[in-house]
Amino acid sequence: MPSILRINITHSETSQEAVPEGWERLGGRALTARVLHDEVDPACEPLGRYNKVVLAPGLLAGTGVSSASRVSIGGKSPLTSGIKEASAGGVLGGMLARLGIKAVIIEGRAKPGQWFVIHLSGRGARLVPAGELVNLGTYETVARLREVYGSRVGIATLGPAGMMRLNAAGVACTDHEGQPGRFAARGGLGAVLGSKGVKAIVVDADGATKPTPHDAAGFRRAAKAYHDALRDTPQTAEVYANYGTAAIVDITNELGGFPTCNFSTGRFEHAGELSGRAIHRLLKERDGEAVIAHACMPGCIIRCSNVFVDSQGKTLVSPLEYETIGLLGSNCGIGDLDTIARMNYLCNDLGVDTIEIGAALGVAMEAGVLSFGAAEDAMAAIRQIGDGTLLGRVLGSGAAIAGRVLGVEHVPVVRGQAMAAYEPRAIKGLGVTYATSPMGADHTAGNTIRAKVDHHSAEGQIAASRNAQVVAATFDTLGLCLFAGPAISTRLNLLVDLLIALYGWELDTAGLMMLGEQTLGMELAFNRAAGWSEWGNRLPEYMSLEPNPATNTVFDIPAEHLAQLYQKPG
Amino acid sequence: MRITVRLRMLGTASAAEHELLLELPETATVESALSKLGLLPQESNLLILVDGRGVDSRHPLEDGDVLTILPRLAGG
Repeated sequence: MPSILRINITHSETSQEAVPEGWERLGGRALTARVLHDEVDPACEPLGRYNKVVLAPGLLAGTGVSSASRVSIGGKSPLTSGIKEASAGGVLGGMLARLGIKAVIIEGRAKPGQWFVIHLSGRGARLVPAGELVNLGTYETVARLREVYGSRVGIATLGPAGMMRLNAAGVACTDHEGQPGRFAARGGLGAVLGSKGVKAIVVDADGATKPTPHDAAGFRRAAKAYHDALRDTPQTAEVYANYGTAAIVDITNELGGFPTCNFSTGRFEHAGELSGRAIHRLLKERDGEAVIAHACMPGCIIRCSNVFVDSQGKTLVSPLEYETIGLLGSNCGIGDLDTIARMNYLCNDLGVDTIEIGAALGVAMEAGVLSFGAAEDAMAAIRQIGDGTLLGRVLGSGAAIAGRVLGVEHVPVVRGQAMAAYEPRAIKGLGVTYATSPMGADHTAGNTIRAKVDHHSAEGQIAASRNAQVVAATFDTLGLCLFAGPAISTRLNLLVDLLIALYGWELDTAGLMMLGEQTLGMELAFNRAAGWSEWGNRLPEYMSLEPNPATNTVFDIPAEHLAQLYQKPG
Repeated sequence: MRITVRLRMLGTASAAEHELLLELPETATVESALSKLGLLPQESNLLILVDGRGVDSRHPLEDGDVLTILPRLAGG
């Protein structure tokens, strides 16, 4: 029987609890939302003793179904002061599910200066002193933990940024090969875990078996139908595998929505050199350790990940992804993939969100502290985050705080969190999501780029965003990667069939979408109690006044429509 | 009329890029272009832009238009 694992750091106690009634149908983001909604005072200090960190594998995790073993990490965000869920691929979600752990709830906090590693296995949970790991970067931390616990474990870890409780700190999770490149990046949850005194979580699922489906034959049939759908859709069958998520560069740049030089425009002169096509070409030429189609978790058919190498064929970083290219690259006026890959590795090692740091660097460049395109200076500034200098800590606190400290008006944030690599005056549905999502400016909370709308027009964007937000919350609850979307968005019954066969539930597609609706409802309730108001559903003022020069459009969705997005039935 | 078509990451084994000139009658729409390119069956999976602006398949084309066709994707 699945259970809830509660770890109280204050008292060094762990307990295994039965899944409470009403939580059976929850997983992933729905479960992190439920726990935070039920157990955490929304007014609490995000880095204080009453906040909690919740890890929950999605409902399909660990079953061997493609692209469906993501793990959600939740807590109250120090960036947005609201509820936050960030999910990661890699191996952790599948391992937790195979151990029968529906959620891990980390509460309380260590004494100052005390740091722990949480070790989870079939024999239960224990807290181990982190010792000499404390100040290490994520790559070295993971290498040492694998030496101690074996190469088959899954690991979530903080880098120095999380230890310093910097708001841009994320949680690095290991992939298939044990590299910590899969980030639950957004919202500063690494700072929250750091505030608990937890350096890393090691999951050993050796010997644990896949969850047993309620109807094994039905599950095999449903899995085959879903996998066939992934294989017969061009995007999931070959486009992501060939070009990675960087395939989006061509799309956003064409639309004038590729953030460039602190979101001052939406087309970048070097976009062609940053595209998925350019990455594909380079990796083919360079060969060596390069991998063009890389799976972050076992059995993924989509394989959007990659291993990016230097001119000698040696690994620079894995993966190199679209959002990182948009924020550390074009947004900083940097048009060279090798440089961006090196910046990406530094950020990963420090354990920071590349989106938040890229946006903070853009703001510092606008302020004149750094210069657009000056890559070596940007790299040195990222290193300062790890050194804990004042500039490093300002950047590591994210774009909103950097903007305040440096006196910048043009700061691309909503609710204290940086926008992802979709310029919202050109791709207005994303602007609606940034403004209205309980997650703050987060593309994974409702990406409208695939919606059939004229992205430059205000028309239809509220509906497109609302729909995308519900779909995202549903996928996050299942542990399903959003990139499966093109294959199944018109065949949601494939997901329903999987859930029915796995759990024996009665369910239809409306019921499936209710999982997302209910999750959003809990998150919005938490945020209202935390002091959010619908009238704060705004983009930065300048985006309504100053056109994006690439499209000559401003963000013109009326404020009252943004305020009321969740008051109207979807 | 003559329009420029830029295909990105489409076609057999998702060819990286391809550019061509298409000769079409004056009344042609995006749909006629897709049909001539053999892409019509895939339409729901395509992002279609005319001069950088998203359009649907009924959009009328004009001489000199640049039609860009990409797969519909979201990135992370």
